[in-house]
Amino acid sequence: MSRQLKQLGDDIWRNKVEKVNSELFTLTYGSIVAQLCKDFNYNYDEVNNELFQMGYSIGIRLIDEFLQKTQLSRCVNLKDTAEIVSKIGFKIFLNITPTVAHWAADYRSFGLILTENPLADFVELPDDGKASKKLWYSNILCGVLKGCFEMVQLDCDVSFIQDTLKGDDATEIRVKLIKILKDEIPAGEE
Amino acid sequence: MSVYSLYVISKSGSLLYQKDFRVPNSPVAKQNSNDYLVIASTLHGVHAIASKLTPKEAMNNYEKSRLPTNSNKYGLHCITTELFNVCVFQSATGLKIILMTSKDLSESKLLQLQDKLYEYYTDYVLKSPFYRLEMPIRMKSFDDKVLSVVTSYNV
Amino acid sequence: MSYYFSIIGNNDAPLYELEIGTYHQSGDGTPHLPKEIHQLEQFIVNSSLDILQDIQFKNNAIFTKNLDNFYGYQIFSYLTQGNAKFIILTDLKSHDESLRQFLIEINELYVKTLLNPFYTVNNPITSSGFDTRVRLLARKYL
Repeated sequence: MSRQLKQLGDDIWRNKVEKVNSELFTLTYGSIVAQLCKDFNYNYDEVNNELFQMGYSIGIRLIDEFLQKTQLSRCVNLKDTAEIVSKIGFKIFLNITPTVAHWAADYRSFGLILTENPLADFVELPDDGKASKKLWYSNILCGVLKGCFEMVQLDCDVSFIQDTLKGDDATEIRVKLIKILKDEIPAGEE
Repeated sequence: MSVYSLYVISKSGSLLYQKDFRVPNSPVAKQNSNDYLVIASTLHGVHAIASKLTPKEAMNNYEKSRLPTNSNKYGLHCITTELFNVCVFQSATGLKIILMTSKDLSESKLLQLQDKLYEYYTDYVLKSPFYRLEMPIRMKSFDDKVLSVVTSYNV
Repeated sequence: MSYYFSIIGNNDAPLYELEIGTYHQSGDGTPHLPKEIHQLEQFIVNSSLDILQDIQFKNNAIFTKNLDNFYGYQIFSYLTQGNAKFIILTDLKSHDESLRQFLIEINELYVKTLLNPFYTVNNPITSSGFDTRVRLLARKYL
C-alpha cells in the first residue's frame, strides 16, 4: 500500500502538476510572511493566525484539485489519511514526503515530520527575542491541512509543535482528529 | 452522441452553474432562470432522498460505473428517459456535476467528461483568487473550457 | 597576521565588521592590530572607498588587491554585483590567493543573507549564524 502510494505520488508529481521555480516560491512566501509581520507590528500571534487563515482558504479549494488529480476516494481510517497526506499530498504540491510518526495510542492523532521545508529555505527568524518563541513561520501549511480535512468532513486540529527555524531538532506538524463530521458527509455516501 | 445540458450544484444545494448547449433537436427545452434553480434544487433533493432508499444490494451496480472520485454510492445515479439521460457525479467535497446527455453516450465517454469537467472546476474556478465558495460561477475562462470540451462530444 | 574585515552596503553604510587574526602558522585567531590602527580601521577602510569608486568603472575586476595602503597595511576589496563592498585591511605583505577565495565564499553567504525574507537590504547584518559562518571561513582561509 505504502509503496503504491509513493509510486502514485511520484507519477502525479512528474506528469500532472505544473511546477514553479523553487526560489521564486520560497521568496514569495518569505516576503508575504515578512510583510505580515510588519503589518501586524510584530505581533506574532496575529501573524500565525493570519497565515493559518490564508492556508485555510487555500485548503478548502485545493482539496478538490487533489481529489481530481489523484483520483482517490475517501480514506477508510486515519492511518491511510496520514499516509496519503504525506506521500501524495505533500509530494505533489511541495515535492517533499514528510515522515508520519508519533502516533497517539488511540490512533487519533499523528505527527508529520518535515525533513526539509521548501518554505523555509534561506530563512532566519528576526532576532527580536519574540519571533523564535512565537512565530510559526510555515503556519500556512497547518491552515491548508485544516481546510482540506474539513472539506472531506474530518474536523481536525492542526498545528506546529516544533520547527527547526526555532532551533528545535525537527519540524513537526501535529494533526489531531477531533471528530468525523458525519452529518456533513454528502448524501449518497456511507 | 450529444451533451444537452450541464448543472453544477454546490454541496448545500445551490446552483453554481448552468448551461444548455446548442444541439440541433435537443430534447431538453430552454427554461427561464427561475426554473433552472427549481430543477437544480429538485435534483439535489431527489438525490438525497434516493440515497436513503437505495437497497444495499443495489450498490454494487454503481461501483463499476463510476469514477473513483465520484463519491455518489447510494444517491441518485442516473435518470433514464426515452429521450435523454441525467447523470449525477458527486465529489467527496459534495460538489455535484449533473449532465443531461443523449442516450447513445457511452459510459467511458461519460466518465471521461465528468472527470474533465471536475478538473476544469478545480483549475479555473477554485484557483481564481476572487471566487468565493458556494457563489455562482461567472468566469469566462471556465465557460470557454466547458464549451470547448462539450463541443468535442457533440458530434 | 591580523585582519579587519568589513561589509559596506551600496549606500556606503557599514553592515558588518569583524577583527580577526590568522589561524595559520600556529595563530589562535586573536587579532594583533596595534591600538592606533584598531582605532582608525573604520576610517582607513572608508577612505579607500573613494579609490574603489574611481576604479570600479574602469576595469571589470571585482577583486582588487592593494587597493590602498596605510603605513604598511594593505587593503583588499571585493565588489559584489549589487555594489556592496567587502573590504579587508591586513598587515599581510603579499597578495594571497586564499584571500580571494575567502571573499568569494563570503559573497555566497552574503547572497544567502539577502534571500532571508526578514533581512532588508543595507541593514546591519545581525544574524549570529552569519557571524559564525564568517568566522569559520576565516579559520579556513585566513
